[in-house]
Amino acid sequence: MTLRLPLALLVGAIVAFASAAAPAGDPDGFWHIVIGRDLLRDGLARTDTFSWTVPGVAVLTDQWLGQLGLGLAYETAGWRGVVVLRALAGGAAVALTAFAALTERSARPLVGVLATLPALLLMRIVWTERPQLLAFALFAALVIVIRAAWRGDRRAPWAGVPLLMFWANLHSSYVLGLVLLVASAVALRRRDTVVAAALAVGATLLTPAWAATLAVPSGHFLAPPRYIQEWAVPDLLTPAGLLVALTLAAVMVTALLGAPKPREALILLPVTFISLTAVRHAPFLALAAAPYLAAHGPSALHGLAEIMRLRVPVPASVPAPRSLGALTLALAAVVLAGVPVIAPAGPDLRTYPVAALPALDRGAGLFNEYDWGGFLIFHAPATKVFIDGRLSPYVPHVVNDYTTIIEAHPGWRETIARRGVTQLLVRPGRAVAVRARELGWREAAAGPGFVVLDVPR
Amino acid sequence: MSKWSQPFVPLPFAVVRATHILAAFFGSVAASLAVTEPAADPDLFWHLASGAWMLEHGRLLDHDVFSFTRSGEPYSVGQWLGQLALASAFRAGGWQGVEVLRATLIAVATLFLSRAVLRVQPHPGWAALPIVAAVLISRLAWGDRPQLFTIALFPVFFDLLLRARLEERARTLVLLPPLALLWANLHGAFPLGLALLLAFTVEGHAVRHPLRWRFTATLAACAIATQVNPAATRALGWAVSYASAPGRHVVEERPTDLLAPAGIVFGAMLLGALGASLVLGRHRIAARVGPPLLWTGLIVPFALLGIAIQRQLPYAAYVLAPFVGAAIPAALGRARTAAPHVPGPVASAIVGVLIAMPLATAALAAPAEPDLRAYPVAAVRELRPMRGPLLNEYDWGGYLIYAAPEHPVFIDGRGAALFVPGVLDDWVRAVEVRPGYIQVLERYDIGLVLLRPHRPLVAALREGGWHLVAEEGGSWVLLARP
Repeated sequence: MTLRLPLALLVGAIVAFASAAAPAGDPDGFWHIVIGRDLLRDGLARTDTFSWTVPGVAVLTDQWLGQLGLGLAYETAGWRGVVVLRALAGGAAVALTAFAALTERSARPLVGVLATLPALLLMRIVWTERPQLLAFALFAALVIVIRAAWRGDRRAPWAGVPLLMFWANLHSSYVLGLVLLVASAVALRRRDTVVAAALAVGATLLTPAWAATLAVPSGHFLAPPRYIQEWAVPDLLTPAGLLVALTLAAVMVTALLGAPKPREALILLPVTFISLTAVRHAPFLALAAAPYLAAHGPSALHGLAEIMRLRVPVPASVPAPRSLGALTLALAAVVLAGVPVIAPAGPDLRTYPVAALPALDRGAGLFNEYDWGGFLIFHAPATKVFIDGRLSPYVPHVVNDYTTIIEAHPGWRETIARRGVTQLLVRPGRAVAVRARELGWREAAAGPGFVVLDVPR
Repeated sequence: MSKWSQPFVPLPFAVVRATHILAAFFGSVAASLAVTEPAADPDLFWHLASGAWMLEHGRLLDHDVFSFTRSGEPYSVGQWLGQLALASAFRAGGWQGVEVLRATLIAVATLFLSRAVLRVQPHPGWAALPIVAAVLISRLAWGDRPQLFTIALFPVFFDLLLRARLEERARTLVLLPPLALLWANLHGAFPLGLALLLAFTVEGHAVRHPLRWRFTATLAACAIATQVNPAATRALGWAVSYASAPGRHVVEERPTDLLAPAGIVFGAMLLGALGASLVLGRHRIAARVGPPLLWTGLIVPFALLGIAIQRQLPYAAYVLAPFVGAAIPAALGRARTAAPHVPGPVASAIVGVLIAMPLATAALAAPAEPDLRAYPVAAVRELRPMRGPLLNEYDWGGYLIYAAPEHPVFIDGRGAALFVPGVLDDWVRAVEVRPGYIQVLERYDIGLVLLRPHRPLVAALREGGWHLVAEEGGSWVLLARP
C-alpha cells in the first residue's frame, strides 16, 4: 500500500478531530438547520416564513442540498450530528487537498504535507455549520479531477459532471468550479473533455431554480455586501490574512523561481483573484495552491540554489515500508472514530441573547440584531424576525431600514413607526439602545450582551 | 557577469534612444492631465496651514496649534519640507502654484516609471499598457500632500537602481544618498526607498553581482542620510509601526479591494505577472525580463504591501509595471524588439514640444480655485461669528483649519500622529452615539456641532433640543447647544 491515501486520510482526520472539538454556534448555522428540518418535513420552501418584514417573498433555494444534510444530521444526532458533519466536511476538504498534493509528489510525502499546511490552517476560518463548508470539499475534489485530466486520465473529466451537479445544488460557489472545468477543457483541446465540460454546464442547471441559480454568485461577486464581515476584503495584517499572504507569496515565488507548467495558470489565476476579493473565499487559494506547491515548490528551491550557485544535495528517496501505509490508515481510522466522541452535544450560545427569549413577544414586531436572526429562527420560532443572515430577501429596503434604526440615523423613530416595530432586541452599545434608554423606553430584559426594549405605543 | 547584464554602450553624440523620448511623452501627458485637476484633498488644507505657520514663524511646527483637543501637544507628521514646499508653491502661485507642483511631481514619477519599463520593454505598445495602468493606479495618491514627493521619488529610486543593476552603471548609485536625505524630510514613506535598495542589495549578494558591495555601501549611506531629519531615528520607527498597524479608520489605509476600479487594474497587473511567470519559468524570465531573484524580491513584498494597504498600491504597481510589460509579450511568444534611435535635433525638438505641452495646459486650464464641493463652505460663514468648542467631521478638519482658523478643530487628518487613540475614540463615541456620548460632549464642553446630516449624533442632538443654526441639503448641519 502506498502512503498517499493513508497519509491524506490521516491529515484530514486530524483536521476533523480538531474541528469536532469546537462546538456549533455559527449565526447562519441555525437557519440553515431549520430550513433543512422543514425541508425534511414539508418539502422545499420557496418563500419566506421566518420574518415579518418580507413574509411570502421568494427566497433562494441554492443551498437546499446542504441544508438538507444539516437538517438530517441534526434530526439524527442533534448538535453532535451537526458538529460531526461539519468536522467531516472540513476534514474531507483537507484530506482531498492533501491527496492532490501527495499525488504530485508521491516520492516525498513530507513535501505534499507541507504544501497542504496553508489549506489546513486557513480552513479554520470556515469551520461553520453551513453548506459552504461542503463546497470547499467539492472544490478540492474538482482540483483532483482537473489535475488528473492534465495527466492524461481520460475518465477524470467525466467525474466533473456529477460533481458539478451535486455542487450546484449545494452552494453557489459551484460557478468557480464550472469556470475552472471549462477553462481546463478548452485548454486541453480534447474532444472528450470539452463534451464532459459541456455536460457539466448542463448538469448545473438541474437545480430547483434552474438557470436562476447563476444569479446568486454573480450578484454577490459583482457587488459583495462588504458590511458583512465574511464579505469584507481580506486584511493581510490579521492572522488569517497573514496565511493568505504567505500562500500568495509561496505561489508567486514558485512561479518566478521554479519551472512551473503554464497550465497551472488555468486554476491559479481565477482562484487567486477570487480569494483576494472576500474573506470567505480566502481558503480557495490554499486548497488550489497545495498540489501546485507540491509539484513545483522544490523546483523553485533548486532554482534559488542555482541562482545563488549553491550545491544542495538531493536526499535519496527511501521507499516507505509496506506496513507504514496500513499503520497510517489505522491511525486515521482511530482519529476519525474519536470525532463523534468529542463532538459537543450542545452549541456555544455565549454570544447570543439566550436570557432574552422569555421576554420576547410572539408574532411580528421584533427588531433584532442581524446576526441574532438565525438564533431566533431556531430558538424562538413563534417570534418572527426583522432580519437574518439570509440577506438576499432583505436587500435593499429592509437592510436600509435596519441600518437606519440600529445606528439611530435621522428618521430612525419614523422608520420604527412605519415598520410597526414593537420591541427591540439589540446589543446595549448600539446607538438605538442608547437613544431608546434616554427616551425612557421600558426595558423588558437586559443581560451582559443584550437589552430588550419595548417601543412605546 | 550575470546573464542579464548589459554593459553601457555610449551612443553616438547626435543620436538619442527613442525610449527616452517615449518616457518624456508619457511624463508630459501625465503632467498635462494632472495640472487640470483642481485641488480638493482633505489633508491639503492642514498641510498648507502647517507650511504657512513654519514660513511665518521661521521654525519647525512641532506642536499642535490647530485643535482644541490636543492643543500644545508635541507631534510630528515627518513631512516638514513637503509642507514647506506646498506652502511655498501656494504663496508663489496660489492654487495654480499647488497644481503646477503636483503636475511636476507626477511628470517626474511618470517619466522615471516609463524609463524603468522601457529598460526591459522597448516596444512602445507593450510598454504603454503597464505604464498607463500604473499611472491610473497612482491616481489614488494624486492628492496635494507631501505624499506626492514619494510618488515621484519612488520611481526615481527604482529606475536608477534598475539602471545600475541591469547596465552595471555604478556611478548612478551616487545620486541615491542625497535623494534619500531629501526624501526623509519631504515625506515619511522614505523607508520604501530603503526597501527597494535592500532588495537590490540582497539579490546582488545572492548572485554575487559585481556591484554588490556598491549596493551595500549605498544602502548604508542612504540609511545614514535618512537619519538627518528632525525626528532622527524615530522617523524610521514610525514607518515600521505604520506598516504593521495602519490606521484602518482612514479609508486609504484599509486593504485593497480588488473589485474597486484601481483594484481591478492592479489585479490585472498582478495576475498578468503571475500568469506570465507560470508560462515562462525562471530561465525565460532571466532571458527576457532580468534576474528572477531580483524580480521576486521586488514583486512579492511590494505586491503584498499594496494588497494590505491601498495607499501603498501605486508602489506595487510601479514595481510590477516593467515586469508585466516585458513578461506578458514574452509569454505570448512575441520576439524582443530593440529601441530605435532618433537624430539629436529631432529629439530636441520633440522634447521641447513635450515640455511646452504641460506648460501650455497649465497656463490655459489649471483651475484657479480648489474644488470645495465636498466641504461645508456655506457653513463657515455661519460659523464665523459663533463661539464655543466645535465638534467637526473628521475629514472637514483640514478645511476648517484653513477656512475658519478662529475655530480650533476637534479632529482632523493628522489622525495617527496626534489624535489616536484618545481623541479619535471620543469622536467615534460621540458621533455614533455610543454609550457615554453625552459625557464626551460635556468633557470637551462642545457648544457647536458641524457634521453630515445622516450622523446619529445629529438626530440625537436635534431631538435633545439643540438649535439648528443652518443646514444644506444632504451636505452638512450646524447645531448649537441651547
